[in-house]
Amino acid sequence: MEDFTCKSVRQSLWDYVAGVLDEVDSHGVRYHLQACRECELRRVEVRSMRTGLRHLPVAQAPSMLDTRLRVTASRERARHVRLRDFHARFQDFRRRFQVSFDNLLKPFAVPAAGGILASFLCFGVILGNLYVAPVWENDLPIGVSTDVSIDELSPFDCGRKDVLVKLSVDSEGHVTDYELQPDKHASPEEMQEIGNLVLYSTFNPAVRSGRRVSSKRLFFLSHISVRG
Amino acid sequence: MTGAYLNLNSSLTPEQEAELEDLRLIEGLRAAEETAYETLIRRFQGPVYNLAWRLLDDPSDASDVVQEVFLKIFRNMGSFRGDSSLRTWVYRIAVNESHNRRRWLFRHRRGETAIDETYEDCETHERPLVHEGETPFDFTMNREAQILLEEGLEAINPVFRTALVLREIEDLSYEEIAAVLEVSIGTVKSRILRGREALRRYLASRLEGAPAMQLVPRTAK
Repeated sequence: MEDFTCKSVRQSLWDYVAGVLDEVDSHGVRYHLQACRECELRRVEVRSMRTGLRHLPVAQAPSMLDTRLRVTASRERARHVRLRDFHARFQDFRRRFQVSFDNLLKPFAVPAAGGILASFLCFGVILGNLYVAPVWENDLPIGVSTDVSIDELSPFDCGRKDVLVKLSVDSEGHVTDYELQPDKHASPEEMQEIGNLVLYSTFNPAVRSGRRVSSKRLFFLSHISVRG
Repeated sequence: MTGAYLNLNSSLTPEQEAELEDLRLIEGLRAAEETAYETLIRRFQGPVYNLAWRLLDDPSDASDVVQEVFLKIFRNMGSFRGDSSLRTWVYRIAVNESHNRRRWLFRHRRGETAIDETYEDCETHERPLVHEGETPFDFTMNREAQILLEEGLEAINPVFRTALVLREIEDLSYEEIAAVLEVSIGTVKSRILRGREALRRYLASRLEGAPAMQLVPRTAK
């Protein structure tokens, strides 16, 4: 500070009062202050302000802040330890996953167990009422094979003495076709009589492997007259 | 080994010892030592709270800022390069957080009206420094002067106030303030100068019609 004017001195007054000016500047300012009353007044003013600022009340941090900071520090320290290396990170991930998994399933555990027990209980109670006996009346044993047989013969007479007939019987026991055996010719009346006899008779269909099937069989019809 | 270490330490200057202490603290924090966290809180809680309180003028906001500052310190300790001292780094975070907070308050609290201006925990917040030999009159005068200074600080531009608080209250050097504010030393000096001038003008205007409260003593003619 070569030129100690009022302006330059006033700019350095704070440093002068603080005692941080070097010796040359400090001497120059002191010399100027002895000669300039206005600047001396300003120096007193600066010293007063500086002292006032230095003695402003010290703010006492609230006790809650200390607690909050310690909680934050504890949490951050734990976080730092958790994330320090790969093993710690893996362990942390595993622990977090386990907790998340437990938290996810625990709300369902009690309702699910209750539901299963209730279903067992209900099923056990009503199971007896739900039992329906199977119907075995029309069941055919597998492995049994039978031929067509006559269930009930019609009351019509065949007219002739004896005749050998080849009958085709469907799975329902109905005659679908018939022919005389050996291949003989008969009159239309005779054929009608034989037809009435076989068509109005009922037959038991043939059974193969437990199933009713269509089949053909020879029947020998003999005429029997009973006089009494 | 320990003895040699201690002998080596005893030859260090106070600045070097402080630097060594900072290094130990930083290493402790990086190693997640419980005592390091404790030391950091004990060492910086008060100064950071004071700084935030001076910059924000609200104890509850200052508390929030302090918590944010420490959270940032804990989380970013790994990225602290040591270009500046630990105190400078902590103060830089505190100043930035305070500025962010002030901006947030400006945006969100413009239309708010306080229901109760008294703060519940207020009596524990200020601890006036009273000289034991002070008379009640002196105490009252000093208290009035302190209130005037605080009002003056609140009234000046936050940019200048920050520089002024760091210099005159926190007693940081120009270099440290430049590192905290991330500006040049010239800018720091300029801001401090303008802050001082603004404070002086404010006090002069307030004391204009109140001779009993004058901070400037009159010299005898």
